[in-house]
Amino acid sequence: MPRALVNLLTKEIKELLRDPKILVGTVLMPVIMFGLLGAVFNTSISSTQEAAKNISIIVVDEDEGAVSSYFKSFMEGSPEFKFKIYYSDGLDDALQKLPQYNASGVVLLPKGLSENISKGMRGQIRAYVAISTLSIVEQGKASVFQSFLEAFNKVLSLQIIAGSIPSKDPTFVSNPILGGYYTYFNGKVLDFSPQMIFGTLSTQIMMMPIVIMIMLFTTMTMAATAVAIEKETKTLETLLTLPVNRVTILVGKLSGSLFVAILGTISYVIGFNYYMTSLTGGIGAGLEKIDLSALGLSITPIGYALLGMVFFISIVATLALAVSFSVFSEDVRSAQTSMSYIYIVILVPALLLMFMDLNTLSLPAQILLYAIPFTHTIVATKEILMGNYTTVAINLTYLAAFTIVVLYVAAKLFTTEKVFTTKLKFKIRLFQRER
Amino acid sequence: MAVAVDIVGLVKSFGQTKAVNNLSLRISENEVFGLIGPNGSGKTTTLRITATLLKPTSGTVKVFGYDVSSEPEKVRSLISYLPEESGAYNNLSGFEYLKFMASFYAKDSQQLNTLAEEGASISGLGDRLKDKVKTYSKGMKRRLLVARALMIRPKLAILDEPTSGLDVFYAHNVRDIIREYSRKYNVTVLLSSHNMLEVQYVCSRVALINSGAVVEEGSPTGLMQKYDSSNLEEVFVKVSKFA
Repeated sequence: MPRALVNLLTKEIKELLRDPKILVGTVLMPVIMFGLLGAVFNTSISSTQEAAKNISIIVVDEDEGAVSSYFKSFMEGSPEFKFKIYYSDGLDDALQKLPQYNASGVVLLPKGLSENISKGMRGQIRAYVAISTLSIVEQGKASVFQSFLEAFNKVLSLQIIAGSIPSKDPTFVSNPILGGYYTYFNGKVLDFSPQMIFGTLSTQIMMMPIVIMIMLFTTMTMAATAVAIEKETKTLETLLTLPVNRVTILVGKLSGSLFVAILGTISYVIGFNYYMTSLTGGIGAGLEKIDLSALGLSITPIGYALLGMVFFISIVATLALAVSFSVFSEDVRSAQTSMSYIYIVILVPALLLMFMDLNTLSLPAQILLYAIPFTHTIVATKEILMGNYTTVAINLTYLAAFTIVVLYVAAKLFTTEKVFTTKLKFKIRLFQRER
Repeated sequence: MAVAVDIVGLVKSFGQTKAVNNLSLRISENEVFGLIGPNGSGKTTTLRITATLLKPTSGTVKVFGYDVSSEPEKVRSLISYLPEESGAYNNLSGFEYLKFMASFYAKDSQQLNTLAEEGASISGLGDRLKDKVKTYSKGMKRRLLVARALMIRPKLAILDEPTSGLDVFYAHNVRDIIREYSRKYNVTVLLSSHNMLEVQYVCSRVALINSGAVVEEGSPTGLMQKYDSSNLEEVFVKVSKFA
């Protein structure tokens, strides 16, 4: 690497990383923000689980029959649900005693429950769940009542079946058909239901456009700021009279921004991954255990190389685009305003492709979206996952062609006096009145 | 004596406005040459063209024989430009800034340190050079920038209002440094200033510019005699009225 470029790159990185707004906002904030979110989620899950283990319930037995007796013994002996049980004579009395016992609810076993069941009629058990706050912990407590009643229902059902049809296995009678779900994908039958595969892949499918979007936004803001700050602090004129090729100055600026943007992206990926792991660990544990490589859904070494190329070319395109715009800006604020116009071009395909398939759109909409270079970035990352490398090659070609054109324009602009003499105005006239 | 700067029929237009209109100048090597003129007379545009930042609409500007339009990189290797409104990198320390700038001129690390130390000495900022530039006052920044422009001992120093924002004491000091550097290290200086006394004190020759063209040129003493004036300010007023 030429010495001048090393000097410029070192200066850029120092300048960017010593700026507290960039260091905290771009590099540290993602990992702190998602880390905190993940920690909060983890804490709330564990406190919910803890709270659910120590629920106090007041039972009102108006039935006093066989079923209510069985219910109470099931409740007291259940290894899964450990309740602290209090008894009361009536519903009103029980509800009044809720604060006294710090109980989460009342279970009412109405008169005639056992009689109904013995006659082959459905009985009713009523749960009155107390809500004092709208927290996740309270939600967790509330769901315990439902889960327990469902568990009791199942046990009671099997007992009734066993008594009615002694010759048959009660489990068989209650569920005679066992559903088997498989997936046919890429010419192969996979031993997993589509829901399991979607559940496993949903993180990647959702995460990829988000990561790309954030990375491109970060890169763009970085590059625009790096050029605009030279103008704002009046250092650009001096810089451009140094005995250094101006393309080298441009490359130095782009590389510095690229370096910091990569740091920001790594921070984002680490933070987001931690957050997502917190979510799946709490809710859908087990789904992640599918071996994607066995299904042909993991990224191969060629795929990783292509992914790297897609990311790199996209970032360079974004950097060049940001520099092209920011050379016309007077200061950092106007550079960032001009960037908001480009954000839209990145945001639209990223959001659309997060929720829908491009092929389902009308032809004009498809043409419009495919004309946006960043659509190819997102499409390519998805196609790499699916192993469709021909499509990826087409995406890469389009992206590379666009990048070369924009880079050429940026280099041209940087070597002319337009960097000093042209100023673009980004004004929205919608609410402005002519005087 | 060799010609350091040769400007012939320089015209620079921005749209319909002619900032420089058929300006011609010749500055010899080792001269300290001053451009004087009212606001908007074309001084800064002339300096920016000489510093390769702007391109002439017509006419030629040569620095030590190199054309600023066709050989800008050769010109840049000979010059050091100090814009009127200029800043330094806020998140670097003063010394880091000097080292960064010196790194483009130094052949090795020893020369790099020598240049940076020289810059430190010119700036007179002492221990404050260890602090970040963003903590500097306007005057301190200017001292750093003047030091940056002179420490590399360029063949041609283009200084736009070099003492702008400096206190009397340090402005005096900078003028001495400019004269000393020009004499001691054969640095040709092209400067512009509103401060006529400064120009009178520092420059061996001056050009009075009005509406983008040179209206008078000569040594400060010669011009004062010609216009029967006691200082350049009077000369300027008389020439402007005449023009």
